[in-house]
Amino acid sequence: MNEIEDRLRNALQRREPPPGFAERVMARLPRRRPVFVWWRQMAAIAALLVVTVSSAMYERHREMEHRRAEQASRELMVALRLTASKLEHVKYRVARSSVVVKVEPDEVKGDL
Amino acid sequence: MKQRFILGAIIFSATAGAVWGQTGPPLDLSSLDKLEAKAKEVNVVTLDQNLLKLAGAFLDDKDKDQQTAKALLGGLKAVYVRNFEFSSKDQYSMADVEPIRKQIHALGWSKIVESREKNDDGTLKEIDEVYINTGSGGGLAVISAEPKELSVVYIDGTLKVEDLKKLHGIAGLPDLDIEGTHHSPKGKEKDADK
Repeated sequence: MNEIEDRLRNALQRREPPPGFAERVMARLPRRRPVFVWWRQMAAIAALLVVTVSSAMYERHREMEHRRAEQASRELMVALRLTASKLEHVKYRVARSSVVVKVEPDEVKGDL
Repeated sequence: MKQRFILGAIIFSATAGAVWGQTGPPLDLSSLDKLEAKAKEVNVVTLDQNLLKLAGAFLDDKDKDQQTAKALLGGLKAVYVRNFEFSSKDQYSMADVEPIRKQIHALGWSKIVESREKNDDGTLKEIDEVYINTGSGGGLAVISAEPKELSVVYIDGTLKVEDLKKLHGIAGLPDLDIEGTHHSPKGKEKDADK
């Protein structure tokens, strides 16, 4: 039993790696590609650009919509005012022409 | 496969055409476009349902006039106005207005007011016409042709007499009594006195 223990202890005892072992292991590891880092940076810049441009476009769109709404409301007021004015004009003319029809001829001459 | 594609394209074109027909402008006012160059003052308003909605969102509730306009907006589908003021007579002819009158007639709208005034030589001096859509859609059209001014108003949508009366608040004009166009003789004499 002691013999087995001695052989095991002997086999598992700490040994120093041969000189240059760590360097050789590191040399065999796959190298990190610097291209990958470059793409990540580009993607981040692109994303930032997209966000900036999108928000600028949205703001511009909002501003244009605001202007359109302002213009439309102005036009609506003009349209309603003009409609009211023309209807009043028509009413006046119809009322005036009716007077000509209904009033006696002599009175019409005098009135005109 | 190719036949299906062609059939699909035909159905799509027909549907798109039908939809365009439904959503296209209800009235073609292009016959008046040429007058813009001759007029000293031009008012052109073309507001479809989308623009009316947009205008409604911008109207100020605190302003009484705009509040009234907002109330009117509810039933409106489109508002078209063409107003030309000229510095001299004979800058337009009734032939410019005729295509619009034909379109309004074709829509089946009823003429409720027509007023014509002639010159001493018998030529037409002034024409005023008011049309309403008596159908379910509602609507109002005004054609006012004066010697130095031509106005065409086309309002599509529900706009009742009560609504029209609200307009006077906007324009600061006296009461718009459309029914009052059928004045009693007494009323007419009263107007004549004014």
